[in-house]
Amino acid sequence: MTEFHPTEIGPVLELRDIHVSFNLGRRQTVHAVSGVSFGIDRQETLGLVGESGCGKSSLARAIVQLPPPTSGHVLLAGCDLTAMDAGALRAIRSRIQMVFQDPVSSLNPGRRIGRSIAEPLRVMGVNDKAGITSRVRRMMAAVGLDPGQHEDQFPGRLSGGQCQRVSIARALMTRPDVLICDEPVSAMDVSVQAQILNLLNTIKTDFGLAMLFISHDLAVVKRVSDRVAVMYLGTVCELAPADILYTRPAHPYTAALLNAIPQPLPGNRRSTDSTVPYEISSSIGLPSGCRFHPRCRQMKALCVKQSPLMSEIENGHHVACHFPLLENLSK
Amino acid sequence: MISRLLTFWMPLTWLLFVTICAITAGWLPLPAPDIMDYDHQNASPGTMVIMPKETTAEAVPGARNQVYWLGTDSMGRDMLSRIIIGARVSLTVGGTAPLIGLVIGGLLGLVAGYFRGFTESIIIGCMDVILAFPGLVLLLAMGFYFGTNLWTLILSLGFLSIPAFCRVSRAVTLQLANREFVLAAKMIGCTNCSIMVREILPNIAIPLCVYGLIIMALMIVVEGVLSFLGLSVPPPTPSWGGMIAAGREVLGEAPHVCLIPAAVLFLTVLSLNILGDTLRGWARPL
Amino acid sequence: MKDTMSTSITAAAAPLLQVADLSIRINTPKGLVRPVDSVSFSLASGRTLGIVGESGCGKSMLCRALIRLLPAGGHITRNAKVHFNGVDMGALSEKSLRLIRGRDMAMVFQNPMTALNPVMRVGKQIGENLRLHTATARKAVRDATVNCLHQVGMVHPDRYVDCYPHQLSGGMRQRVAIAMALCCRPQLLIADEPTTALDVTVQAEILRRFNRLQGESGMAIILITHNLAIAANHTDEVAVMYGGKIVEHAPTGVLFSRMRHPYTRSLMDAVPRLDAVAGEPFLTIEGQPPDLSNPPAGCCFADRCRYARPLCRRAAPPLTCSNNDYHRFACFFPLEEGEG
Repeated sequence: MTEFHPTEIGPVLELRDIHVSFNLGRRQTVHAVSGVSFGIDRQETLGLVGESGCGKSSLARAIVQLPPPTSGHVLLAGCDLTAMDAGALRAIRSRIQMVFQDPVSSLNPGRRIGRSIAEPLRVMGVNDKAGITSRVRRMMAAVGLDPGQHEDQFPGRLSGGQCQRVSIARALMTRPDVLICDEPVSAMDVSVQAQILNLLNTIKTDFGLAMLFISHDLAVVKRVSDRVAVMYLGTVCELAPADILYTRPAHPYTAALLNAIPQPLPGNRRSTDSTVPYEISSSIGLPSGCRFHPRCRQMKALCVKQSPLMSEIENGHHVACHFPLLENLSK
Repeated sequence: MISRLLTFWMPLTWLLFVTICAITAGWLPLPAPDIMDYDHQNASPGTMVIMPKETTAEAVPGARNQVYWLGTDSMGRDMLSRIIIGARVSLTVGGTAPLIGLVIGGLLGLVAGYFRGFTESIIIGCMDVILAFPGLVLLLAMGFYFGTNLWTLILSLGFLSIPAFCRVSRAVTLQLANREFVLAAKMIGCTNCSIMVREILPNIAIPLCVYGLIIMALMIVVEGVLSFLGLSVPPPTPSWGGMIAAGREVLGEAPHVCLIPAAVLFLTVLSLNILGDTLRGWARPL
Repeated sequence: MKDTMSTSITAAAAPLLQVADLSIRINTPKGLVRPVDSVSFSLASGRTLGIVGESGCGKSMLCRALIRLLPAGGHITRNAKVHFNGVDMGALSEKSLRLIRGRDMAMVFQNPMTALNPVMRVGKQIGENLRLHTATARKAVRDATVNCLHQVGMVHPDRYVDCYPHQLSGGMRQRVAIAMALCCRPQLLIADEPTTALDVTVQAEILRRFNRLQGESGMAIILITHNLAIAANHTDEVAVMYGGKIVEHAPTGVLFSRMRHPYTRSLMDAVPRLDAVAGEPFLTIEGQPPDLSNPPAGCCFADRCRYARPLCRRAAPPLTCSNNDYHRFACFFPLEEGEG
């Protein structure tokens, strides 16, 4: 069993050229993720945005090796998760945890809340019952749940927002270094969404977490992230600090996404849409060259032939486009 | 309130009553089921007779009154005691055979639904073979090699009920295994075995048990049919199906000999079905 | 809003749809639930009404009451008046209602996958609607179907008309559902969260198309959404619902610049904005929506309202109009103009 020797320097989570593919039978392969690489530093939040079918959920599952990626490396504090055997992997799973989209389905319906939250401790081998109870109660209070009221309830009696708090509490019990949030607020009303986002911001600082925040909602991602990566059909097309991405997008897809978001100000219509209304149905029949070229207004011949590589156009701002929107940079 | 009475309390009461009678049969003041009273064959229910002196333990001055509460059959045997003793056979078969199917079929379905892929194909394939196999042939063969007794009957019927439980267990497991709480358990570091036992099994136990009640009812009917055909426990052990079969011949002049065991069988099966449906309606949705 | 700055609500004369005092009661095992309570509004042809609210506020149940397809155990109270095209819907027989549904009044649902029949080709589903409600000849149905799909923005509709729903993406399925609703040129389109399950780029395009089709055919649209931003950009009037009641109703421009009801203000504050400052906490609405089987005696928002006073918990505020008669709100202590 390989020993786990975490390092304290460098990014806490690093992805190197991750590919995830599924076989659908009849010789059809879905390339959900193709060549994604980025790193997250300690106590940094990286937002990952993209529309349905872009592969963000497949990427999240590949990071936690459930199932492992088809190729590529995932390094957690310097240790390669993809090279570990099952036993070693189980031992370090506590360092990286995940919160899911559907709060109710994230909890075992037949198990009381208190026991659900205590489960990670039990798996890690902690036997002290009184200690477990007090830790569970402290964690419930930290996520805004009343232990006296909710500890003995079943998940069916709790609202969606409360169930999500329980999931977050359970994920934090193992004191992870990295928390992956896979669309944690997409299934909620706006008022509950705001409560959960505030909670995530609080625990991020209190527990010193690095976070990968996955969502399709750009406005939400902007408020919680330090840096943002935009995914399209399995590749990252732009990666930049949050404020730069939203004010000076360099990739046409990012610009189109930002343009399409309705704002709660009447009459606030931006310029006409910058994409052709062409539907991409799946990642099976991928376009050649740049994957965005069928929908791009400024497509040229090179875009069809050659896939663009990620290049750094200014400090910390990376984009994968042959003709990035550089006129935005001067603003 | 009325519906609760009808769908829960009454079936439960009947089942408890039958079970308690079957257990305490030895201590009840009834004549033995194999004592044949040739003077009162096919007596209708409620016949009161003077007990023949020869059958008492010691000669008693004066006669004792004996009431055949449910009458006698064509060989003069007391119907009430035969039905109670027959209940033992039906309830033992009905209670034990599904248990075998539940445990084995339930576990196989859990494994099939959790692992999917090749494991699932093998398990479902075996189930299909068992389903396709003619049950009657199996019973005849088992009876031939091991003798027709209660245990071969229970084992054969239990074996034949495995596919049904396997399918139910697999269907429920499929619903649960894709949920995020299973993924969360894997993220904490649980092994597959631990996940199946601690996360999924408690959730499939209730639906399986409720389904088990329905299968119990079915088993009692099947045992009835088998004893009707003479494939169940051999005489003189009474069983409800055997009594129905024997009563066929005197259906014209003494219908109670056939109809009373049929009615008891009907009520028991009906109670099990209603209770099973009620409990299924009460079970927390997954 | 759309192209014109709309500051007026529907004129009282000849509205297409008039709803007065609509309440719904449903018998559930837990008791009597009132998902909709005394809702009144009007809608004229060619205008879009947005109904905004969170889950459980009754907006979906309201739509179902308009087309008279309530769930089992539900009924509309007797004093409710729903007039469509001058006809009292409550007095119609089921047969007449069936004629209206699909032809004059059409509905688009939230989840396109469940709204389409999975074992029927999409062209056939649209064709079914056409043959039922219009006099299209059988040979002309396929061309009419392709035309409908083209009008809702599907590229190459002749390729997809023989597909099954599972072969199409979410956006395409929703276009099919919309084409099904619009193929008979209804006078009223009720869209229940039509773009919630779709990506933001597809959403923007579909909503723009609604507006364009409305301009061409003059149909009225009721757009149900939980997203205030969509309501701001694609409606003429907005009604905000909470706890089964309308708490504020005004022309879109007026509502977003001069909110009077605290719930509308809180909802607006809770929406994440692109132009907000990073690091600032989100403004939330503490607490939970009310239990509709046991509604509170006073204002249903009182428990969660920052500005609640004792009167708010004792009596339910009626829907009153401001002086210019266009802006209705149900609050005893409405926000002053400009307050937030």
